[in-house]
Amino acid sequence: MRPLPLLLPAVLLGSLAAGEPQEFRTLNGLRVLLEPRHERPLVRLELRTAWEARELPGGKECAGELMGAILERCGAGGLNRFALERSLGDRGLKLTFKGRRGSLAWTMLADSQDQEEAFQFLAHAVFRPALAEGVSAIQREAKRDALSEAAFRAALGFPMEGVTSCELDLPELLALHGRLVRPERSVLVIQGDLNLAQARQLVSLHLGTWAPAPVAPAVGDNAPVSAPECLRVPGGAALVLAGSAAPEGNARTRAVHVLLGLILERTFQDFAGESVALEAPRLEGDAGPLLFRVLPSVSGNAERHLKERLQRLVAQGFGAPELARAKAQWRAERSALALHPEEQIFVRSRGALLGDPADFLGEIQLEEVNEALRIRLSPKNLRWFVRGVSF
Amino acid sequence: MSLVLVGDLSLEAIQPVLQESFGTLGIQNEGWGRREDRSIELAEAPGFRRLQASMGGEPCVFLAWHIPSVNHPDFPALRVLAQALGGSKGARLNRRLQEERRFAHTLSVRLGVPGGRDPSLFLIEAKPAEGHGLVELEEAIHSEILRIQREQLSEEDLRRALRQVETEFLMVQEDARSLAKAIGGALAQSGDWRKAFWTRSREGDLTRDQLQAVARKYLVPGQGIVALLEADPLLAPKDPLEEKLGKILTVLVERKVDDPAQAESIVRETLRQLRMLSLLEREQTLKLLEAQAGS
Repeated sequence: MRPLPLLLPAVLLGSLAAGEPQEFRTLNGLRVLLEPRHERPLVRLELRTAWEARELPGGKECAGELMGAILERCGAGGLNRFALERSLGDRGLKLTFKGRRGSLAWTMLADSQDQEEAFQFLAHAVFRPALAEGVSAIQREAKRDALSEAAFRAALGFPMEGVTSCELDLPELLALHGRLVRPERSVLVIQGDLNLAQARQLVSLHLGTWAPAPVAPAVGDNAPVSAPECLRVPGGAALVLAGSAAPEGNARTRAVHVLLGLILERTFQDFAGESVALEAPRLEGDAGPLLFRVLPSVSGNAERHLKERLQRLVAQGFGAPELARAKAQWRAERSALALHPEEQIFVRSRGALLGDPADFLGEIQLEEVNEALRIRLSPKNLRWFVRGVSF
Repeated sequence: MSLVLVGDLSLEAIQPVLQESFGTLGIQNEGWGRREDRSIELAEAPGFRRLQASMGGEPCVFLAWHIPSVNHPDFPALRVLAQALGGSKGARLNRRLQEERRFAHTLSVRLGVPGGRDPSLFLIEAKPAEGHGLVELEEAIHSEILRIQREQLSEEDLRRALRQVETEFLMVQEDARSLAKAIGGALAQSGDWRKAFWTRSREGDLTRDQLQAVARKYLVPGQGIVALLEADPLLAPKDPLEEKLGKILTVLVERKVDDPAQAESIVRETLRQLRMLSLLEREQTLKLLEAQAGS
């Protein structure tokens, strides 16, 4: 048995490091960032558009996630979903879509010889979606169950898992699509075997005709509506969850919450006798929701147990070594980003629209993290899901 | 053991680290499992085998055939054949059975299952669409395979599959993680890391004749394995209607058959057959059976 280190020829791998992108803007206001990479004949495109909860009808945050779920299920450009997937497959194009809290993103990966078709299909998906088909699909698939764990998670900002408490009809969704998906509030990141002149030409040809729909007036009171403070569900297996929604705010604020999530993850991993589990996903490299779950090993009043555990956590706060370790972990993850172009492009596009929290990594102080902990775990911001436990 | 490193590294710089990390591993003379000792050819076919099992979850049919290891000269043609048959929405089986005849809800084709170092399986996995049964879907897949063996794939099917295979190979290179995995996989399975990359001479020049030849050689009906998996209609009825049908059939069959095990077997098989009918047809059948039981 002999270790065989296998290093690929440099010509095959090329440089994985990314330089500063070139930037231009189209007449309809679309911002375009180009990172030319000619090592491989591939082109990756990501078009991202951002939204805020106050723009949604009646302030329903779930409407943004519902729009994401519908866009995931519909065809585009006059093709139904099956025909669209078939057309993409025939050309070897890979189109993916992510609907996350605060943004919608379409990503296309193509052989560079198919770059024209890649732009064409991306344009179809972004501003010519067959929304009616998506609405029918979601009506068939998604259960409207406001009292389910999945609906509770979706309300905190976790990706929707086929269950929604949201109800919007087709005219409302069409209006919402027109309001959210607009060139002047979107960014297109192009990465790969393409130069600036080609990029300008292809963007102008396929996305230059993207005219923003007239902005529909806001419907009713658009103050954000958050999940109820406590959902109590009688019956079923015992389950106690406490969650804190993904935070909004500027890049620096979100950087504090990314670090808080990293410290909390480590805190709940390190305790061998821990009675609470934590999910603290980063959503596309940005701050995400927190979800605490009482483990089945806990006897007695699980809800009180979790409340006491969280109060203890807030009272203790974190120390400088924990913050330093979280910063080191985040730095290490960021330095490996160049190896993964798919992750790199969504960090780039999200950063271009909303600011990149990692830019503030070095500046965050311990007091800010402990303050964020107090805010996220304050009774005002915690949401509870209690099932199968006598109330 | 092989170690694949992808990224901003140089062999000179990394060698001391590798030596420190892995250099202390003892050297053993390779014994059992040496690639050189393994045949790339298929052993004699064991004949056709069929399995029907009751399992939870959605009903599913698997059709599998033995194929040689990745180092066999026929493997590239089998890879392109798998892509042409079920590698995308526009592939032959997906198009015919999902889009046109609407027998299948999902269908996919994989090869090298569970791994390509040894002779392995060419596997078709499909779930029936509403109103269609597993046997019906199995027969439809067999019928399409026979058609390909007799009539060849179209030039367009071949061109599309070649393009998709080439693109897949290319896209793997983009991400360091997937590239390392592909190189490690190729090395472990074939002994040659270059097989992680598409080459014109190996895949690019394949013809319809070659694909037809491997389909005839390996996808032989008399040498396949078929597994039909679905929930037991008596123990886990798929809907309230099936539960009612089961009860009424049990009453009727027990009037004619004394042996309870035999009666249960008849009811179970009848319920499986009824699953192929539409909801309306099953409701009509229930009415007929109720009338029969009442008379």
